[in-house]
Amino acid sequence: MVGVAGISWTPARQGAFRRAANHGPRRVTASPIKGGTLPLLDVVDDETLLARVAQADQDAFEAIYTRYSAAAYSLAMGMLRDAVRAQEVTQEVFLAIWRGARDFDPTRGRARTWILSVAHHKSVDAVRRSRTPTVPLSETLTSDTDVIEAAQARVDAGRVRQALQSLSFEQRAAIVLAYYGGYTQQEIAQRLGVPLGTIKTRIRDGLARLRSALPAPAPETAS
Amino acid sequence: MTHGEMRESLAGYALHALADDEARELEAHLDTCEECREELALLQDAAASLAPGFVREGPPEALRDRIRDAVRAPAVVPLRDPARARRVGSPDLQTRRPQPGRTGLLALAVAAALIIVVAGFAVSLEQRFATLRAQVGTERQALAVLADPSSRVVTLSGSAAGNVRFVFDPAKRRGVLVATGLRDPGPDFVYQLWLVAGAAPESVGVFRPAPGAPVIVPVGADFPRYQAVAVSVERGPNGAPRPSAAPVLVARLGPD
Repeated sequence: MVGVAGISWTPARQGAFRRAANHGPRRVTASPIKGGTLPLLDVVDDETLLARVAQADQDAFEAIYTRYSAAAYSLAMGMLRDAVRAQEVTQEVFLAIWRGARDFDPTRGRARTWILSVAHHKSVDAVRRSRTPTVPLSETLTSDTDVIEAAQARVDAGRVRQALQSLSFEQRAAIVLAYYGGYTQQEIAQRLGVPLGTIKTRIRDGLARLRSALPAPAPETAS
Repeated sequence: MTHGEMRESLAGYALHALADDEARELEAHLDTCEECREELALLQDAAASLAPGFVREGPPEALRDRIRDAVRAPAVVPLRDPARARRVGSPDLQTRRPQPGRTGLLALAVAAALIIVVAGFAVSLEQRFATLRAQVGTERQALAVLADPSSRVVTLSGSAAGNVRFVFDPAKRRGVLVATGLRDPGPDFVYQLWLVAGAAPESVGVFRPAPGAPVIVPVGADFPRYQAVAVSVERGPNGAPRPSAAPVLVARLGPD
């Protein structure tokens, strides 16, 4: 034992050293695959890949990148409308996945959701940093309709657009401005001149409705 | 906020549409409320379904190489959070909002250089880092710790040369190790950071020094539980479950 300023510190016994090299830090997520090269990276599920990324497996990380880089980049491009900044955001997203994979717990949610949430969060941060939101909320837009049309004009994908159509106009407005516009609930309430509680309700009800309107997502494929 | 009010904010949280302070408050609530965690998981699934809303296009192939290079940089090692790891097998919060990103190496370098310059002037840190945070925007977790006026700074000392400080906020359970000038431990070794409670050091993670750049190691933990923070040299790449030798650097975390 080594005493350091009153701190007791007990080194492992001789022999523990070799075991140490195999153990590494304790894992937060459990991986069904032990050691070695992960076979068939293109068919294993996202959860397994993330568990491997948590152990600093660069091949698994590359596989995650192959699956999700287009999703992350498209979202950033749509929200930022700037290829250089969208690339920066995409890089932030994947570095966050690399360093944060240990925080993902497969018993608490899906890997796809976690990854896309990281991607969205980084894009929102970038939009807010830029102070030039891409969805115009200028004072010249005099009605809810204008605001929503402007926001929705950027939403292209048929399936998402269709799902949004299943919402009430007010719900759609709040969800689109929040998710694609990167606005806070407070900002949306101010700009639309509606009480904050009302916006919260619209977002809550709208998101609940989206949950039932959207079919199960297709797995990500390589870009 | 009450549980009911927290619950009403979950959808906004899933859309990343809460103000920062609201989000933090909700995260604290999520730590203790399984009902809200379960509801949030469903709402986050719904939010994720909005992600493919724009025209799908892939980034240029060069980006893959850039990211690959960044990941292989020595200072970017996935790190574990001892507070989380202790809860393995028990309900956890890990599907909630991703941790604030540890991204932007340049921003990190700037932040780390600044903390080394100004550590000890905690009173003025808030203002300095409010400005810095606006400029860099990215390394929010580290910056938040560095900027918080309630954060404390200790300097690690021992047999290893280097400028190594640990900044931590006991109330918010966040900390950051900032190291510069450490010698390369050799190709087969890494530095391993430990939190010491009694005679049982707990591994936080491993890191290697980056030439010319500070290394930043974010740490989330219940700091009052620990008496010290320490660094040892261990076999790479993953380090050891228990320290194999005496620490090369140590600092007490006890009260002032």
